[in-house]
Amino acid sequence: MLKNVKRQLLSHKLMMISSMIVFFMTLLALLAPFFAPNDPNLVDITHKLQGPSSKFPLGTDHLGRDILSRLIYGTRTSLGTAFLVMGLTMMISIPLGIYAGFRGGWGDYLFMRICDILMAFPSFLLSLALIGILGPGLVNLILAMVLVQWVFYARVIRGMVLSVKEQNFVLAAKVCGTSRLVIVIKHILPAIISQVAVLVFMDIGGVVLAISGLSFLGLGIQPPGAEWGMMINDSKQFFRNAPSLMLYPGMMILIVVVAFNLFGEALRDALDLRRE
Amino acid sequence: MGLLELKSIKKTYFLGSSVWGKRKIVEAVKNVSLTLEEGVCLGLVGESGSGKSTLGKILLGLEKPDQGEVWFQGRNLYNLKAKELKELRRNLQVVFQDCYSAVNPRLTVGEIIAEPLRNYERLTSAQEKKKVQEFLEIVGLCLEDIHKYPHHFSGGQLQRINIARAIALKPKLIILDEAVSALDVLVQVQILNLLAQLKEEFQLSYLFISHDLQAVNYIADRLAVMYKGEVVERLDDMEQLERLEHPVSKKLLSSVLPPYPSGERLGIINNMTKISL
Repeated sequence: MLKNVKRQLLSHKLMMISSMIVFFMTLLALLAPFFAPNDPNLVDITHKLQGPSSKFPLGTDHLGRDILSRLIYGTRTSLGTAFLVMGLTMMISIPLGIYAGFRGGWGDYLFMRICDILMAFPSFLLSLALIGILGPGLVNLILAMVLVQWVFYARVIRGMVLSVKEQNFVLAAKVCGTSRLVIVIKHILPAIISQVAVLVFMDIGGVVLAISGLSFLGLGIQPPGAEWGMMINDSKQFFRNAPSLMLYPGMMILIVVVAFNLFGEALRDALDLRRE
Repeated sequence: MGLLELKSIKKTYFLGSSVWGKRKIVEAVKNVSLTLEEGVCLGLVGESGSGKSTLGKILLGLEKPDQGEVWFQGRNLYNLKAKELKELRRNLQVVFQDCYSAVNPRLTVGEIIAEPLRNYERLTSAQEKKKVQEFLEIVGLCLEDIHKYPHHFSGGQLQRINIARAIALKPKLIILDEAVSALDVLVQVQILNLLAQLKEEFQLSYLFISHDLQAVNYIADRLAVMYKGEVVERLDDMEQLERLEHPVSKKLLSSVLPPYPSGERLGIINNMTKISL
């Protein structure tokens, strides 16, 4: 199967480019100190709002900080936070979705009603309200997003489990005397995990966007930490003199979101989930 | 007392939304009582949608009936503690119609056949392998097949794997839910022969659910005809197949294709028993 995935990813140019970008971005995030030419948080007012130079390849912002370095460290913040949010979400959604789908009955009914209630609100608005209650900050941002998101994913996973659970091999396992836990681990989880992976990769762009959006509003990452949304917010007062200050982080967000979306789609096609 | 006894089983499904009152009621099984003695192969025939497979699921303990009781080896299947049920399940196995979906495509044949063994017996991996190979040989597959995946096999071979899994615990009763219906006729005969041979070897009893009277006639000792959730006719002697009276039984009889199109329809059914490979 892995061979098949590899072949599919290589066969399309768009997929290849998107997976290369995803790979490069991940590398950038992991090795940020290695790639960044300057300290991203070093304030030097004497060099503020400078154009590109050999020391500052993309110029400096209103506090004289190196924009390129801040963009690179921003990759770390955005991607790291996005993966953390997704990881935590999955840690809640997978067990709950499987429980609801596999056991059914009252637990499932209760779960579905909670979903109905929470999903009646727009998720971004709900995150905003939660951060409003918890107060701004990275930890609260992650908490708010996870608490809002898990419902959606748990529900999707529940649906996947429902369709696998009625398959004959699960029934046969039951008849063989296999315990519920073993059925879940051996038969159900392997059957849904690739679909879940596709779901995660297709949505991680959206999470990056949401984090940047919330940071732009001043609710997420707090200064002086480097984050793209916050960089846009910082530079909006200098828009007329230095439009590139807003352009660069905007471009980064665009590239990452598009690349991850395309990568998710490529992964879906490679695993051929629609035909399965 | 028989090995398996069904006492006025009833199962109704509700389809559609229940809140707005627009639900459709499907009475899949209504008031079915059946007895199956040890060592007997009971054929359960009926058109599709007559409730045969629902009945199969009920007596496997997979679907709780609305009314009625299932007694297996003198125990009420739906009134047991989890541990007792597990012990009882050892003697009650199944082979499904769709051999492709009945095996997990991500497991090797060895793991598939070993699954029931792992649940009941504590074996070392060498013992397990030996036992799995033993069963592979019994159902007529190669010893090397143990490492292959289900997509490497044809339908008939997969059904052999399913049968190997079903007999791995040496059960008393196997439910064959349309077990040969999806296979082509030649393979059907091979599988039916295998089943007949296993029945002797392991002293099994079968409940053979099918819509194909020809296949049932080939293997079953007794017959029950189901129609719209009820057993409408029983037959204790397969020799008297032509004496079936109910319109549905007659319809099923006449749907058996004659090997010689010009020949008589009913007389030819018994010819099937003469085919052997």
